[in-house]
Amino acid sequence: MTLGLEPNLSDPDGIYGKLVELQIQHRPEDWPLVSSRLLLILINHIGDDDVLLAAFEWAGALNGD
Amino acid sequence: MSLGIPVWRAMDALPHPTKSQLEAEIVIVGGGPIGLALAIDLSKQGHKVVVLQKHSFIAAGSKAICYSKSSLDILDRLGVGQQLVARGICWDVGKVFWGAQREPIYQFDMLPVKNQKMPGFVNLQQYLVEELLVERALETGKVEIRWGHEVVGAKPRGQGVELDVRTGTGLYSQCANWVVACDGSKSTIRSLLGLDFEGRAFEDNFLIVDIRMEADRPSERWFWFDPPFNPGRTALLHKQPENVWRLDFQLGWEIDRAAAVKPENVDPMIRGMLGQDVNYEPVWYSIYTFQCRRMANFVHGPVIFAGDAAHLVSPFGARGCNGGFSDVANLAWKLDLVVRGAAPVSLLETYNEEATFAADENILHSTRATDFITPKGEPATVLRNAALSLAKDHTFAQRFVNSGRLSTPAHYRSSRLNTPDRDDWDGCGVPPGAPAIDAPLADGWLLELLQGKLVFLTNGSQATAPAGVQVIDIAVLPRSEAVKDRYALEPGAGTLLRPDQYVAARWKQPVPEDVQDATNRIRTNQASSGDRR
Repeated sequence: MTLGLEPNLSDPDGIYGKLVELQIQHRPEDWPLVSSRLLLILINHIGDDDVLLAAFEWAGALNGD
Repeated sequence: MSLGIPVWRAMDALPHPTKSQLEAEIVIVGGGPIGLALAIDLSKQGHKVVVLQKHSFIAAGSKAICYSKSSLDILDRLGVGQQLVARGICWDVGKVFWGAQREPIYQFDMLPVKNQKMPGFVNLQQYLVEELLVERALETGKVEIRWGHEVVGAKPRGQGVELDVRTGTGLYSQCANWVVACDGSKSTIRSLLGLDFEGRAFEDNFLIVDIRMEADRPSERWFWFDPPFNPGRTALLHKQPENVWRLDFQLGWEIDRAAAVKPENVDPMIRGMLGQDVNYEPVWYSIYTFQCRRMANFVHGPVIFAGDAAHLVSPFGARGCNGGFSDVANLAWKLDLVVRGAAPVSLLETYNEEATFAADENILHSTRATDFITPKGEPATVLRNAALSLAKDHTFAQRFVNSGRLSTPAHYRSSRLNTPDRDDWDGCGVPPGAPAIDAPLADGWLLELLQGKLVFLTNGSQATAPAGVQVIDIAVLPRSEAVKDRYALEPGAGTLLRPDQYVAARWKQPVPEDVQDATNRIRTNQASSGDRR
């Protein structure tokens, strides 16, 4: 499987809104922990090394390269 | 002279050897567990071995305590397994705690496949293991341990090596065709040969506290992340025989090491872990730091390295001494064949390949454990806490939690001694390069029958085995169901096992040429020219 970077959500505004809600429910200092938990849950769900490593690479490319 | 090293048992320093003793086939430098085990393994193959041990005593103190299933299988083959199990503390279960929670966030089992002769782990003080090995080595009548003989020089001589050896009364020259350096992390032989030892040091201190106490606690490995008695750090508890307990506390880098081992500073940590009212007596307190290093190459002509002399790991995962025993099993049969002229010297290169592969695996696991135990910076700590916080409720997250991946034998997947599978095994059985697994068989155990020879293990195959290969046919043995299941040996199938209890080849319907080719591949360490694949 390859990492999908094309739009894949039926309601992006909705799910983004839910993510913001999750963030607002927590104190800023707790957010790194919550987002890390989210990350690990999703990593396990995806379960494909190639997809994950490609995602790590895109996520780490802060200067857009 | 002990030079401050605590003595468990003094041995008589041996006088200078006589002239006839100055030429040896095999000299092992270092009389620790690895050197002694290798000496015994070689003696079982009929070789006389000289062991040079610089101290004239077995050292006490806190060293290795956890012996893995795989080491126990090896040590049982060497004849000390039963005594080790009888004297040691057997355990299979590890528990992981986090913060102030009294219940473990999860537990694991080190012996998932039950019904094997040896337990998952045995805890025993290293000096007691050494004592057993010394007795066993002397029993063989073929091992000469020279206590108080220190190697101070080494140079090539002919095809072999000449060692300068210092005793209490002077120097002598010892010649050997083969020298195996089992002389520990500060290997004298490695220094004398000017060889590399590359790797990484870790900036952390750990306090080892061995105490004696009467306690009704289970024989389990308990590991804490961020406990109240050592906030922000880790701790570990292991049971040893004779009511000795090993407590291990992470201390961090910038500490006063002398102050940290003072009984008055250690006491609150002990009581924090075990309860304020605990009664104990100190046995030995020490601080350690660790490194992960290995030599680029373990074989240098007639000089071969094994154990800590060749590779060092952090203690998390019990991969130090156990990694050394794996070297022993891998090396002994190869050196035997080479010394007897039954295999080319190049067979030893496969020791280098397989043992460095195993060392890299151990270093990788122990480095990962160390990075989990000591997260580098705040973001890494948050990530770790995320894994810990999910672990109590979710099995998937337990798989991220790393308190040390406890030693399991390496799988030599790409070894050139393996005959690649021709048949489709559908993930069943034990593939080439993997360690043989034990199972009940007849009135004993399978591994008891694998005594340092090549073995063709079959379920009624018509294929004959070449000379020197022992045949075990489970079709004619009672209580063979577990062997059949674990190796997926349907009628007619067979598997070739190496002397170090590793699988080399397997076939669903082998013909004699298959077994012959796989045997040749091992003995000549290359595929035969008419490779039938």
